[in-house]
Amino acid sequence: MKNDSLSERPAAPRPATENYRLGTLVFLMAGTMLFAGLVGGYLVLRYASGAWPGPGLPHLPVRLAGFNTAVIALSSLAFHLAVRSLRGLDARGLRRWLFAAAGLGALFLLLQVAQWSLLVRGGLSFSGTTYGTTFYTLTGVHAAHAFSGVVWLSLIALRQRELWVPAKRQRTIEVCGLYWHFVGLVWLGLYVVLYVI
Amino acid sequence: MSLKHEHELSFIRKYIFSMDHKIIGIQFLFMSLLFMIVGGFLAMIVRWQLGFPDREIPFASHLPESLNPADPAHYNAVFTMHGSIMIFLVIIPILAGAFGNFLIPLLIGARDMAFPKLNMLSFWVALPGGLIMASSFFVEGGTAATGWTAYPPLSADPQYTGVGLGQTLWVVSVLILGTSSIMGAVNYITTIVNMRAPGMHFFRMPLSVWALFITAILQLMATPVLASALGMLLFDRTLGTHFFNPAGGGQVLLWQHLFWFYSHPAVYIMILPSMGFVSDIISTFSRKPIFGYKAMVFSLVGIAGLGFIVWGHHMFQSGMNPALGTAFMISTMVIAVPSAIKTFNWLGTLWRGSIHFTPAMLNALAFVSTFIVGGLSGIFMASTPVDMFIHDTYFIVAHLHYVLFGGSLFGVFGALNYWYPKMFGRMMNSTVNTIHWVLTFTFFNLTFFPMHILGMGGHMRRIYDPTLYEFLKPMQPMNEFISISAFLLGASQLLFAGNFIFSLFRGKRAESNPWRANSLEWSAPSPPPHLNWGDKLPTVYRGPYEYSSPEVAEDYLPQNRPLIGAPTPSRTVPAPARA
Amino acid sequence: MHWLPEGVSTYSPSIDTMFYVILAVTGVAFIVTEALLFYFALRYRARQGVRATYTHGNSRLEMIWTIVPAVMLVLLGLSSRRVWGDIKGRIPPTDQEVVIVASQFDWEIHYKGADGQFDTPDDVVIHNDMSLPVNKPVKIRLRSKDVIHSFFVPAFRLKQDAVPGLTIDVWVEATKTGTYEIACAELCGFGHGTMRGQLTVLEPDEFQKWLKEQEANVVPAEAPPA
Ligand code: HEA
Ligand code: HEA
Ligand code: CUA
Ligand SMILES: [Cu+2]
Repeated sequence: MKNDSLSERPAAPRPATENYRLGTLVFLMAGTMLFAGLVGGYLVLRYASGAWPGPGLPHLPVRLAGFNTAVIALSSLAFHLAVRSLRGLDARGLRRWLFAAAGLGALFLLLQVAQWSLLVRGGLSFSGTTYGTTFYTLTGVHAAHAFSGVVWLSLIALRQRELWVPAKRQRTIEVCGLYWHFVGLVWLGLYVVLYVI
Repeated sequence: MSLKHEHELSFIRKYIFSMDHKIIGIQFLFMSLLFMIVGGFLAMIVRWQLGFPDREIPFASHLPESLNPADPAHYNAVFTMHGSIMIFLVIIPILAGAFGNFLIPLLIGARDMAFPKLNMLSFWVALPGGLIMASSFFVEGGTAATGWTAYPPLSADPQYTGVGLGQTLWVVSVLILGTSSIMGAVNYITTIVNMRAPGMHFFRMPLSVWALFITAILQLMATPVLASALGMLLFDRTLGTHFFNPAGGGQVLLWQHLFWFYSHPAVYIMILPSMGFVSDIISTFSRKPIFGYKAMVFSLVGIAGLGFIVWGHHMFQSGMNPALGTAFMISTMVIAVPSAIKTFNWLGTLWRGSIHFTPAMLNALAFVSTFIVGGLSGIFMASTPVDMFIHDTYFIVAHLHYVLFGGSLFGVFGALNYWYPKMFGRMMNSTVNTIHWVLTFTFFNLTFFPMHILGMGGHMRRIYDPTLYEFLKPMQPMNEFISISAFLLGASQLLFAGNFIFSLFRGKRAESNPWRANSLEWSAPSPPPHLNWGDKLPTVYRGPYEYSSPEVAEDYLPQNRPLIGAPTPSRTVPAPARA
Repeated sequence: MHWLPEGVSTYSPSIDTMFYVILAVTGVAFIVTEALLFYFALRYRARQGVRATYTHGNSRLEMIWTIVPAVMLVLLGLSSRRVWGDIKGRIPPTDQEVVIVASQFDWEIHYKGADGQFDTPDDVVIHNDMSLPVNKPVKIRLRSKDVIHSFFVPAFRLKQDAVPGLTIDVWVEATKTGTYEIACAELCGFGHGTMRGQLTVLEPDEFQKWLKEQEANVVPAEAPPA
């Protein structure tokens, strides 16, 4: 829309946090509340029931999940480095780190799938018990967020060919980064809630 | 070149897939008004059934089968859709969607929302959401029939109601509408924080903007929790999970906690914007600054904050731990305090004013008058032992209509009267709207006030035939009286609808500032062009309530009018709010 | 002054009193605010040549109208708490127990039967017709088989949801013999409005007699409730 040039004129002194970043952070607040609702439900169901897991049900693979936590943390770190490269005008580093973040994200998803199939084979069904339901729901909703993050990340990485980054894409990268850190942080929370306590 | 270019936009880009906040606001407005007719019509069916339980509705044969209340199962569907439509498709979208969109940029001096595309999307998500809800009238088994609160297990398993797809569509529809709400909220918050005109400090914003801002925060924080609950319900319905089914280890009360964690803040989502509009209208037509501006702002914040810790007052008799009930009772009592502050400040604004009884003002006064009644009836229910008797009786129905119709809807009528000239560039006929106000205010009270007395008699809500109970039989004449008043109330709305539509085409042309008001929207043409102001944005020198200021001869002083010798505004040096 | 229907439980007077106390407090608030609204609107209507007073507020006044309602409300909360604790926070010791199992559109009322025990074949099970002795605390144990119902006896001022998966105890002590109605106060499906029961409060000896008759009628083959 070229006709927006009027609105591009600084209407007021530049805000402390630009629209796109503020908007993203606000949006992620909503995401946080979504997980808060789900985790709240999980805690209610868990502490209202006697045995958790019920007899005959598999325990969650704490170590696999712990390893996976490290994977997604590294992925977040990679993204952080990507943004650092962007700021440092290092286009090559940017591309490299974006691919690293996307790759680690994909590995995270792969391991989640592996974990699910392990548990399914161990006899944990989705609808049989609230133990299974809440586990698959929480990890599933998170994985859906992670999946869209990985797709988005990969698209950005693949499109990042030239040595210069247009302003619009810089913003996209930053927004995607905020989102990706959010996905990582939520996983950390879920890991503590589901596996540790 | 830029302003010219705009006229080349095709009709579709300009009025259908528009990114202009004003058009989007008007789209939300038309959508909610259409649904208001549907919701009001359903209310008429409810009242027919309750007033005359053994007489068939005259037009019954023309209704879709799922709406004919002659069958008790359908009665449930009728009030469920009445409540759901009024809340999710009328009040929330008209307040946040229509007025939020139309007003926020205009009142803070911005050219548009921060994210116009997201804004467009929020409408084009809401509309299908509404259509999905409406489509459930025509599916097999009929619409949802579990109340707007949809308590499981009733709502979780079709075997209990015989409603299959209809209830699922209800869940999906509310999920979609919630998504739209969140998109709107992101936009409003970002816009208000970042895009205020030069000089528009936070404490120079009109209370309408403050109210919409706080509302957006509530929507942002509460709606996702409802989404999580709806997701669980959807899984229970379609994937065989047991979140709410005790037979599979689920917890029935979990839904109620999650639902009310959203829906209590949601009732404030439905009143705060109206409170903001009413504050602006009362100040304008009293020609007097709002009394205690900062107290008004902080009480909005207080209501919103406390609104998150009172949800349990809907669950006093639900089987929740009675000690928790006490805690929720105390927090609920406390939340009445900021409402009291607002009430007294409105009165303070009237005191020694110079009051003009325009239709907007009359509706604003009706708001104050009926909100007091609805708020005070809330105190009865907040008291746990008293609630033991009146919970789920018509006392609650009276309360909720006093706050939702008497409050929110009178606020909407006031706001429509007030901003109609700005929205459409034409004036509504004020004589017709004054008559509409007299009739609405009268029949509103005649309809809903007696419901308190029904409730004190123990009359349960959500029953389709009160005459089945010995102890309710003596009250049936009152039910008939209520029904007749309700029909007259519904009929009075035709005046408003007619005036609204007629004035769109034939109303007198509006000047840019017909009410001689102060806030920035009145400095733009009526209706404002795309991007709202010409090539210069207004600069703000003072708060929005400088009426009858001794500094000028007129009795108003627009926010953007410079006075000789006034300091130039700057963002970094906050001026005192009452400058 | 009696606007509420006659109450016939030991706690109905305290609930009614609480109601009237709130009515008085809110009534005063109502009259004061509405009268001011009306008076100001008329007194200060626009007049030629009269300008509105230019004022932004008054902190003293604002303090007053914050603190006065706050104190009133907290007092209302505290006095409600006492009544509530008495009713739902405890159960007076009693040997008279009834189990009520709600299901879609039916109140199933269980008495212990001859052996003084629940869940045995000789339990007395009656549908939609409950009897209680007067002047004696009765413990009522609420369950539900399917969806949420709410056990509501307007004359007792007693209302409590029956929730599937939970067992909820309430109590009541009737103070007057007679017949009253039981209603279901939580939407439970298409028959919600018809989920009506009868409640008879009897003199203790009549109640015992009635119970004996019922015990005699029990068909022992009937399976115990789930
Ligand atoms: C716009 C919507 C709205 C608003 C603003 C409110 C405001 C309040 N509501 Fe209401 N409420 C609903 C919408 C709303 N409610 C709906 C829809 C339901 C039913 C849901 C359902 O089940 O379907 C409901 C149900 C509901 C219940 C549950 C009842 C039950 O199911 O048993 C309770 C219980 O505490 C309650 C309390 C309150 C209180 C204390 C306030 C307070 O915020 C009110 C504060 C205002 C005042 C008190 C008036 C002004 C003050 C003064 C004049 C000062 C002097 C006052 C004193 C000293 C007392 N509400
Ligand atoms: C904003 C919300 C709102 C509004 C406005 C209304 C309006 C009305 N309501 Fe509603 N009601 C609810 C929200 C609302 N209600 C809710 C949440 C419930 C609980 C549901 C549940 O239990 O689950 C409920 C339940 C409820 C019941 C209880 C049913 C029961 O428990 O069995 C009754 C009974 O009398 C009733 C009656 C009415 C009546 C007569 C009106 C009348 O005021 C209606 C008058 C008609 C109109 C207002 C429409 C006129 C049209 C226009 C003004 C449009 C103008 C058009 C243009 C300008 C183009 N309502
Ligand atoms: Cu059982 Cu309503
Ligand atoms: Cu509430």
